[in-house]
Amino acid sequence: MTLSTPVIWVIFPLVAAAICILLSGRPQLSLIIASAIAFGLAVLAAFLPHELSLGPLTIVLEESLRFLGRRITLVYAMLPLIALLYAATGLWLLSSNLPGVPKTFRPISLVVTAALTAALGVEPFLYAALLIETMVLVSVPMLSSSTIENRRAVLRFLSLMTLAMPFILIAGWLLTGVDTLPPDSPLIAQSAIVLGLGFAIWLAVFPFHSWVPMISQHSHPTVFSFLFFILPTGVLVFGLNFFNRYGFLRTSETLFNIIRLIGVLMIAYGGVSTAVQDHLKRAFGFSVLVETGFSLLAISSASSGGIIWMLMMLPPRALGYWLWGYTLARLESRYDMVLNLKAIQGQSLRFPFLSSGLILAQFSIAGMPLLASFPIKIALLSQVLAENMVSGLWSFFGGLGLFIFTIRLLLSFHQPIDIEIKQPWFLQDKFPHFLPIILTVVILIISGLFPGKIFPSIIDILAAFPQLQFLP
Amino acid sequence: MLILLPIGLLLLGSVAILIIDLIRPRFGTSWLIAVVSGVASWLVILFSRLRLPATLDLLSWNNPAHRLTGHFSLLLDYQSWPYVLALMTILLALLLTDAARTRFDSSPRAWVVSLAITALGLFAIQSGTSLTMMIAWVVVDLVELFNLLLLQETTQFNQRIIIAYGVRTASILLLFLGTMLGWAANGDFSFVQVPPSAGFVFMLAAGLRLGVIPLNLPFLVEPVLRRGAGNTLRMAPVAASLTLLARLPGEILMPGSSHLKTVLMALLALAALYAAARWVAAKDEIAGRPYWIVAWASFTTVSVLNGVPQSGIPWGMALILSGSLLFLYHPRIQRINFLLLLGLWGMLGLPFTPAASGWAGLLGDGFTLWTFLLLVAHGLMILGFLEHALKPGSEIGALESWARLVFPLGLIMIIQVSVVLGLFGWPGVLTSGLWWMALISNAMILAALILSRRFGVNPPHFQLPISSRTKKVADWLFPRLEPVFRFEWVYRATWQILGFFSRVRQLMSSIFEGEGGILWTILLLVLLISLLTGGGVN
Repeated sequence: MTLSTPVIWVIFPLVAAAICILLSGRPQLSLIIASAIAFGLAVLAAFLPHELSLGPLTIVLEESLRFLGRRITLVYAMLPLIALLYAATGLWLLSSNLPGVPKTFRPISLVVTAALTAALGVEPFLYAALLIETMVLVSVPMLSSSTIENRRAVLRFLSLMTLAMPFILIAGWLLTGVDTLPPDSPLIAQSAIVLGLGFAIWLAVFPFHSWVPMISQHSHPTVFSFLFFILPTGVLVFGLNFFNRYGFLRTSETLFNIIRLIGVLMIAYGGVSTAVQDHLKRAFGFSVLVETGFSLLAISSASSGGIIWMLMMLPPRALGYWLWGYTLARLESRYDMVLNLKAIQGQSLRFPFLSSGLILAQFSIAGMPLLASFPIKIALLSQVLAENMVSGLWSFFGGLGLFIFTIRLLLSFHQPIDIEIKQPWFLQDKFPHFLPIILTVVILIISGLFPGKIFPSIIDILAAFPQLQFLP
Repeated sequence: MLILLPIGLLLLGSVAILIIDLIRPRFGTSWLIAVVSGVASWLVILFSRLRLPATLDLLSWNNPAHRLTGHFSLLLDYQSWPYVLALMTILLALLLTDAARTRFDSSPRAWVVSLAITALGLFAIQSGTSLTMMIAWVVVDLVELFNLLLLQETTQFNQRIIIAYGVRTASILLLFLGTMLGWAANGDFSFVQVPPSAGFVFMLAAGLRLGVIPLNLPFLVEPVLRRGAGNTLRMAPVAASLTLLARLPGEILMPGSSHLKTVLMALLALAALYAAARWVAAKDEIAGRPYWIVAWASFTTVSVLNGVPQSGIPWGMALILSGSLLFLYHPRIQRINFLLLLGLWGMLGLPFTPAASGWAGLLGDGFTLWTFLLLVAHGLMILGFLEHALKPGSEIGALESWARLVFPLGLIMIIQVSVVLGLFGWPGVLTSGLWWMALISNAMILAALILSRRFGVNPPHFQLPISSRTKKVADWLFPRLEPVFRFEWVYRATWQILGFFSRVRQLMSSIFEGEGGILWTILLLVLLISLLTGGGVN
């Protein structure tokens, strides 16, 4: 029997999404099915052998599938990333029964992950731009709510993401045959600029970032935390394709310097914006910009192993974003209120686990020692510092924004409102609510002490980009 | 493994007491377990003096596939061993003196905290690399944060706890930055050879944590847990920071940065002088404890700046051992007041006493104004110690016979260890030192004693009469200086800066996230394209 990898990780999740839509009246069942399928696909991607024998039945796996005249090829080397994407989707699906999460989240998250998986393997690879646009369009219903502000945010998201697509397609058209051009041909620079602008818009680089805080402020934390993980991850890995294919890109020192500059700017701008935020959800949005900045910084140090760090940052980021989104969602559902620093004053006395979870999630993303992102961030920053002192110091100080915001949050959490000056502890945390927090924090600590032990094979996807392993 | 044994024993004891307290609380059994685990750990540490230096590799991140750097190890050397022994000794003294504090803050839960904090403190002191120290500091800070917040004191106090935690986090981030600088220059390193580029930032990290660079005193009001567990809670992080200072290289300042050195020396000398003055004027020893820590820590930091980090150790010992002798002396028993005077042995700096080797650190390249100020601060610290030590006790309780025996035993232990450390604590400890520095300082102390008697202030009570002009000036001045040294102006300035950025940020948000935001974005996009393509010129 022959099966193809795209059938398993693209077509099957789409079928599962359809089942979830059919089961929308039975939320518990759809939750179990969606999560089980997502985790099942993750496990399959992590441990699937080339040939599977089940008694007399031998299943041979092919890596390609033809579809409407195009080909989707999911090579074995990409499976660790697919495993991470589906595991992350499963994690978010587990928290999809939180109050306020749109019903559409389950099927749409599966479709989004399937589209992203297809984008990683579609040939000609420029079709990935269309698949990413599909992903954006599909995600609109789960982001939407009835408020005007939310509609404006979604419209902004849609407009900017759509604006990026033509840039990528035009760049692809310009890049055709670029390898045969002389190195001083103006077409090379022009195609690189157009390509860069497309990616800058996709990655919400300043000044194309406005949709990020808008979406984070006006959407559900579970939904936007998922989107903020999956979308930049897909775009960044898709970006590796270009470096792998075009020698002039990966050998251009100027390009890497520009990427570093943009990375540092994003870290500094995002960091300052996070530090001065009063709104908890907007702070998340600006931290996403900082994280994208760190990814760009890692790419800029590609010759020193930066791409490995960029990939290694993904699992801790997924865990951190999930915990951050989960705790925000729980807090929001408790109070049905605007999540700003004033509104949450004194809440640590009522929700010590929830507030601790939120604090630790933020610290983990910020790169606090002991927590998951720290080993990678310190290695990356040291390398950048060794290569360029100014960039290293700016990145370090920009990265402090989230630390400052977290201390401000801590101050707010422990500032009882005036009428409750001597407030006793009044625990309202429930065990099922804080159990996921404890488990995630334990994993974050394990990842912080033993880096690379959670999803260790994530760096193996570099085998799919053979040229990137030998960067000068 | 000898390095890990005391930590393991303490943690085991802590867990055992916690379990007993949860299942069937037994005060006596819990105390016995605490003392047995404390004594066993203390003996192991004492024995380990014969095997210095000892290293234990715990974990390595060096992995070519992941391109990660760094390793975790524990290091027990001549710099850390005195602090390890001192911390263990004050734990043991705490447990023994706690027998007499059953009516106050002595409880099995407090011993659980004390044993655990000491174990973490030992881990932090023995950190062999900056990575290990960072992790240890993070854990110690989190434990202290949760412990203090659980005390449920006033809103004001909770704010102070968080601010103190913020300062501690800043010191961890400085350690982070120092490690980055060290790795960028030399690759992975241990505390045996700290690169100079990292050394200066490490000193700032330790200085910030100790409250001396810049002077910051978020904890001016001590929490409820004042003596027993409270003392360990205060001293363990201090000991870890002092060890970091002792391990720094001799040259941490770039050549030609003499101005920076002068500025830092001035800051440290003034911090020491202010803290010493407040120590003398403090209502009691517990109220003066933050100043006690700052003053001695300034001495240690000055030694590092002067390129003699090893000379900071005796001042660190005075901070921990002589200080704890005073802080654990509760309830007061008039007959054994003389024991406290023996605590002076570790502080006076007379030839062949433990602090004699510390003068070299204060003198540095030569006698300057700052050295003089430090000598004055030293004299004030001694006077303050005498004042607090000789104060008649107001709480002489009726003690059980066994408590009457073990209470002084705890204090005697501290004195004994101070003497032992003065003999062979670290290389070069038994020395006549710069005897003339000791002479100047002790002469000043004597002069102060005589003068104070002249002005009607009879020792041991150095509190000035309410009617005296000096007292009035001090009463007017100190409360006004307090907000300055409490770092509140820095917090206010930080708030102002954050406010400024917040307003800029709001303006940008209103531009980019407003109705015309998308047009602004497109405009910038067009500008960017025209800029990148040379404005259409070509």
